[in-house]
Amino acid sequence: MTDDRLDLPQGTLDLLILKALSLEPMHGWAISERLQQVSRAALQVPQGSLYPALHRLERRGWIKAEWGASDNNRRAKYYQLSRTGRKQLDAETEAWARLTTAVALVLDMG
Amino acid sequence: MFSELWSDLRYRVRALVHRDALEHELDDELRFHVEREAEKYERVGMPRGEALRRAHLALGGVELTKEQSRETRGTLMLETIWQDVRYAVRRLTRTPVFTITAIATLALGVSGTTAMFSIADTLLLRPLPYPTGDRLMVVQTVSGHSTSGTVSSYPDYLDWRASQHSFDDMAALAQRNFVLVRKDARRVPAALVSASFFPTFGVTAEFGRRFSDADDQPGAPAVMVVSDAFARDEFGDPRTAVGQSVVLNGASRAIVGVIPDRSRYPSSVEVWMPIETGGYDGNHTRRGDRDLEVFAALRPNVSLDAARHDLATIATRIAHEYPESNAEVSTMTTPLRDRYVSSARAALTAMIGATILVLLIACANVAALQLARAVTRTREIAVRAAIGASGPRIVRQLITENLLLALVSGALGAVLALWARNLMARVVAPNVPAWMTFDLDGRALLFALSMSILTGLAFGIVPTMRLAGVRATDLLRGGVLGSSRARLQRMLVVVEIALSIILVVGAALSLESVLRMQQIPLGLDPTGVLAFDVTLQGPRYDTPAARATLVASVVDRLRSIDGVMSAGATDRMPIKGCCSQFSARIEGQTVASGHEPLITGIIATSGYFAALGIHVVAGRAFTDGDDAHAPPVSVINETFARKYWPRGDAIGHHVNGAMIVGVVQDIKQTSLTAAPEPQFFQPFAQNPWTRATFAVRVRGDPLAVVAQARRAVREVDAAMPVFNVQPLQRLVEQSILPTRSLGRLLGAFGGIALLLAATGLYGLISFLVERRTRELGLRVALGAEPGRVARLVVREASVLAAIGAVSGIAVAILAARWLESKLYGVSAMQPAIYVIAAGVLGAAALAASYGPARRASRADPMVALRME
Repeated sequence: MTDDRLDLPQGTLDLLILKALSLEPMHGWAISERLQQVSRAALQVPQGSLYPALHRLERRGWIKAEWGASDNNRRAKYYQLSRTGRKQLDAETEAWARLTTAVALVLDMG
Repeated sequence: MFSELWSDLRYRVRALVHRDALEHELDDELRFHVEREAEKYERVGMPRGEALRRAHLALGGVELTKEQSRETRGTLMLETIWQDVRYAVRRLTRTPVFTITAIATLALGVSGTTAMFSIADTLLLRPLPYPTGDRLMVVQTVSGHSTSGTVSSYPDYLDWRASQHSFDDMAALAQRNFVLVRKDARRVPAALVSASFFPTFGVTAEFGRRFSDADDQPGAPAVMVVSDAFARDEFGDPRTAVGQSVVLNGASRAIVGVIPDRSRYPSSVEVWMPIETGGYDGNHTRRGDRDLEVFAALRPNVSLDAARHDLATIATRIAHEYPESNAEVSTMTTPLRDRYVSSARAALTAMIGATILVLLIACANVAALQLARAVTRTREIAVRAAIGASGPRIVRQLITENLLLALVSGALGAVLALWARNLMARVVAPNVPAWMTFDLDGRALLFALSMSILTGLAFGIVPTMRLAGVRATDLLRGGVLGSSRARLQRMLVVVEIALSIILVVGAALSLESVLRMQQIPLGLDPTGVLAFDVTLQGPRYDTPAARATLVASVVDRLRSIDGVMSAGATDRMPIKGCCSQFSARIEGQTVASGHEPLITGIIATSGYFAALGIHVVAGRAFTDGDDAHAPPVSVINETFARKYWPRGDAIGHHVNGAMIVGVVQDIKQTSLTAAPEPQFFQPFAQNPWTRATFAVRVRGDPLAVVAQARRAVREVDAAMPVFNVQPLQRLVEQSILPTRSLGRLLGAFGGIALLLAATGLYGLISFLVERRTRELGLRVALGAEPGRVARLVVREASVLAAIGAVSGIAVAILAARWLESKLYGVSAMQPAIYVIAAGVLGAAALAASYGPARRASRADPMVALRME
């Protein structure tokens, strides 16, 4: 199966999750759907690594989880950004911007 | 950063505590995901089955995701350990006989070493209860070429203290018994001390004050310092004791301070008073009269060697100035701690050696058991390897099992040590002060813990390496073990036997020493003799005549008690210890002044020799007529007579001006085992000392006359306390007791060691017989007599026992050589001891192989063949 979708660079999955959750609390499946939609299906979010990543973020206290009813009234685990998570998102967004700018500069040097 | 750590910790704790809940949540979460994903595919027209398959695929495998999620919990390591522990518990409970044997064996080993650790720790390392602690030194006088130090004279002490540059301070002390009369007359152990005594020991008063220099002047008001316990006993509250007065030896004395019980020195003393006002009966000015103990606190930056040199220089100067008393006198300085350690050192070393041997044997035994068990475990391990347990995981599992075994044994061992330490302390250090308790403190528990982990690894490592090497393919070969395993087991059993024989030899030697001590001729007959002490101090007994009269009247009354055959008094009972040393001017001997021989002098009344059953060899014993008005006389012992009058004409000559009227046989005076030394006796009435010990020879039980003896004293002086009332026989037994206890403990250890070695041998032989069931069955089938088969098995055991015994005896001889120098009357070079040890071991080996041999001889060929 040929696939022109991009693999996520190491460490960016956490950033994407935090960004997705900064808009509204979501459950795991919704996060994976959202990431695919927003990236116009260009990003390959491995569903298998989504849950370990969520639990890692929860352990660090960047996101909080609680059980709630989903749109069709089923129990789902909703994740939402914590205060430290929001700070972390800002820091990582800025770091990412600096990184991409720097990489772009290097690639532009002719 | 901190909040992240905190959140991390909270999450992990929750993950550990609510493991199951978390698992459920993970299940639910993933199930929800798969459902939603599948619905997505169903909406585009995919059949439900296909949609679910796709959903699972997209997730990349539910189980894998779960495993990865679990790893992020950060508790995986703990969970595997917990799994390993539960598995180990299951394994161990499935083989209860092995587990109980192993735990009991190791607990014995750990308890012994832990108890010894706490004893050695207290004796050698725990700080002394005096603030100057390990800087405290004992300074003793050494005469001539003697290697041991004795008490010192007051003028010498004063000169040392004035001239030295090595110590913060020096102090002098003399122990005395005082009589306290409050509710009734009571003996109070007291110490006469210099004012510098408490500062030297660094002891401060908890209430009131210590002595000042002004207190220790002739004519100063009579004051004293008391222990907390004394103050509590006499006044209820130690705070109220300061300022009170009590009557000691008939004179009133004010309490100026109370010191804590823990800081008492000597630890049995209750009251301290200044030498100058305490009625010091020694001579303040004569350098030849020595009866003070001297202590010194080393300056922090001065070495012991420098201090010794300092004192040696001073002693040489004094010797020049006062040759008649000090020509051959030097000093000896040793740490105060050595007092507690030196008497214990031999027993301590022996017991540490014995407990380590038992621990080693226990380890070897459990290792051998583990190896035998490995046979049945090969299959289990091979199965686990086949279903995918990794090599490191199997090793970790086996180590967990061994450590668990070791820790359980360690805990049990620590509990056993609680009980064993007092038993062992009685052997190692029977006469330690009350503050010296052998607690199982944190250090001892840490020791027990490290000991158990160490042993767990020691006995576990070989079986683990063996088992970890098991491959799945071994399963196909039916888990047959190579012969090398049995070789290792054989080696372990041989080591066990060798080690246990060392202990058996040690026990045999100490018990032999006890027998020898019991047979020592005492020179007297202690059976049927009652002994008790009184102290003759205070204004009533200030004059020699008063002391002589009291002792004579008490002896008279004792004689008239029904059933008493004879009675007398002395200043020092035999065996208990020795006495004053006098420089003796012996008629016919010409020696320079200051070089006279030192002779032990004993004071005795008429009737003393008869009461103790000391045989008069020539001349006569003392009579009631040898009193202060009669010409001075003396009685000497045989050694004295032989040394100076080898022709047997001692009687009629003079020692220190007293005519020799009799020669008595040698008695054991200083101790049970000391060689006899020249000794001379003076009549009590001609040199009445301030203490007296009465001896009453009775028909029958000496304890039957205790009440009458007390009454006899009371009739003469109602305020005179009687103490140390005991049969003389008990003194003899007390001298033997340390050796007897050592023998019993070594015997117990030897027995345990033998039992362990026999168990090891039994296990090994059973194992070998089981492995050879087929071969033995065939032998029986081919017509071998059962007896022959049994002999085959016994021979196997005997060879192992013989190898162990021979190598063990080689080491045992070295151990015995050392023990020989510490025990009375035994020699390492006695074939009998080794023959007995080898015999005991042989019997144990035979007993161990009896069962397996019987089983082997009954090997049924059919059973053997059906086994495959």
